[in-house]
Amino acid sequence: MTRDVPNPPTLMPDAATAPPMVEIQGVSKRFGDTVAVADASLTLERGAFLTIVGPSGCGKTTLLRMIAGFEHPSAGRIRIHGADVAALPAHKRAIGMVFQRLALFPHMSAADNIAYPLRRRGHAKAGIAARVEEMLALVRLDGLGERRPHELSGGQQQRVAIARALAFGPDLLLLDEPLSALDRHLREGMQLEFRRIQQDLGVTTINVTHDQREALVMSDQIVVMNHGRIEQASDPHTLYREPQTRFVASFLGVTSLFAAEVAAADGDRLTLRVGGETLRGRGLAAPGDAVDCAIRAEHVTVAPAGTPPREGGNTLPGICERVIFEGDRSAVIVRLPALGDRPVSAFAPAAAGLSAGAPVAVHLDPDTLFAFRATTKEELP
Amino acid sequence: MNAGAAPATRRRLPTGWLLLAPALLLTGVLLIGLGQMLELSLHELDLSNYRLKPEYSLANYETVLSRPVTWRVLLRTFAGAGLVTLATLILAFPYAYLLVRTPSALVRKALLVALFLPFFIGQVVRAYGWLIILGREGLANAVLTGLGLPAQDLLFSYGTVLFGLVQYMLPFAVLLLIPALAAIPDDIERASEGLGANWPSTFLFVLLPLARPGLIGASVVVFTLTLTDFAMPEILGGGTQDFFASAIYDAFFQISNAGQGAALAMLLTGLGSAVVAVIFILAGTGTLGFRQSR
Repeated sequence: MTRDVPNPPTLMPDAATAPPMVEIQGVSKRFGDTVAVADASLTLERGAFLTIVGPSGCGKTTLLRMIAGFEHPSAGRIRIHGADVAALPAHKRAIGMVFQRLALFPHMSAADNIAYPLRRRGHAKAGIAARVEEMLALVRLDGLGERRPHELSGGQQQRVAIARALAFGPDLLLLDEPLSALDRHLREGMQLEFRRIQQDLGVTTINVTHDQREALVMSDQIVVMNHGRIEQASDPHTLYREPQTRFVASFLGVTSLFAAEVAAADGDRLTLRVGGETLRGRGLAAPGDAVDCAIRAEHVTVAPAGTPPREGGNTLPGICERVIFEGDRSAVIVRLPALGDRPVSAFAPAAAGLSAGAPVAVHLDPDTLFAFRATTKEELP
Repeated sequence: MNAGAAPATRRRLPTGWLLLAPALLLTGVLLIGLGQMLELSLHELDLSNYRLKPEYSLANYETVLSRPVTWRVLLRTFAGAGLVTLATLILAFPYAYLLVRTPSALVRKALLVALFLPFFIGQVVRAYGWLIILGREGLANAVLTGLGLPAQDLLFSYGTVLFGLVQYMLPFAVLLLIPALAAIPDDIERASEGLGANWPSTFLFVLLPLARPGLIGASVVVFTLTLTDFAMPEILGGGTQDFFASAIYDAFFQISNAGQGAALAMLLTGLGSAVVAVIFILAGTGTLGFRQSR
């Protein structure tokens, strides 16, 4: 299941003259017998926003802590600005970090929290006051500098935490799931706010989250991790459309997965054979390969049986099993005999007049039916 | 009519006060004792019949305060309590810190066992133990002479008394520091480090201020326990390093002047309470974890 990612996709190729901001090569971390991170490699260009996403315990936080200098890799190399940081303690790395529980200093005011990194780094007194004002304005907390953390709301505390992490102008900003504690409404607001601040300052950022939506919303580049390994590294669009492994597909909310065999391949256009039917899809595989196919519910359309098939085929007969009215449309679960009666999620216009038990024609969009080499059972998440 | 009106008028059981009752009773007994002691201290000893005079006077206080020895012992006691508190906290902090932060369960268990073991040995027994170890023919001098160094008179000095007291107070201080340090998330320390602070700065600007409730609590406990200690100065000081409690004991049982002993006791209680009050006023009760009053 592990794919070698010798040259992970990098963003902003125009910055190719300077060394990448972060370069991680074959980094592993073992705690006793447990492997937290296994042979992770990735490259991040200056100014980019990378999200490491994966379920809890996948090693994403450990990887982040190694970049910050709170953990030391068992193997591999981490370079920041082209320089190996192995011997550099955390307080000498120019990295700002926002912690999961924020870790604001409760005995200091918001302004003192923000001034803390400046004081510890020996900035001039006059400069500090001005910089604190500037940071408070950046995170829209003007006038609240004298409040203690416990006198601020959850969202305001987030802003103090990010202002503190950015106050000394770090090369790199690390976010360790700082938004996970917020309620959904506030979280979505803060995602856009963090992204705005990041883009305003152009600071290279690595965010860690278990929320795939957050990853898609905020990032230029996404790394999906599972069991300590990097499953896929790409930009959000590619990741969403073309998951390379079964795990990535299911993690990104692909609802329907089924097995098929590649009959023919023309570039990434595949002809797939499944249960005596022929389907067209995309993916990197050779004829004869056993593949897993993934398709999202929004790319499966259901029409009453007898509707003239769409051009280009990819329409299979099925039986409508459940119809869930959702207002503007209906969520439909259909069973396709060709797929061994596997349930497939789909959507249909609310006006389609479908009912459970009715025979239907199911169209699978060939551009979004994505195939990847099949995984063995024990590798499944 | 609504039947629910009856429970509203029914008197509710004062559960809170009931739960407090045993503690209040105990405090009450202590206060009665204190009152009796105060009463006793206001009667001068009649040397003609060796009974306390029935009339009230401040004579005992006048006598006690006019004697230089009172002030000498008082100074020795307070200085000792201060030094012991300081030394105990300096030693207890790293111990408690290691105990809270160590990733190894084995180390934590070992530290806990080492912490609780001394509680099984009473203070007097412990003092006699040191008497044997530090004696002229004891283990400490055996080591010194073994190393080719001259034997030392280790016993009956101020330093030895303070050493014994620190050793006795250490577990109390560690126990009071553990919850305070455990309440500081380790991410706070990491945050400080990540923001550019080296370890001494993190200690000074983050750890120490956040550990304040534990430090205040531990210093009050160690200070008051030391201030009123009797056995350690008595045994390890061998009568040459008396603390104030010894002076009170002597007044009651050596010269049988209960009035004077009571006056000395009131003096110690008053001064000790004043010091604790000053600590609380300076630190604010909020530092002990009470809800901050506004």
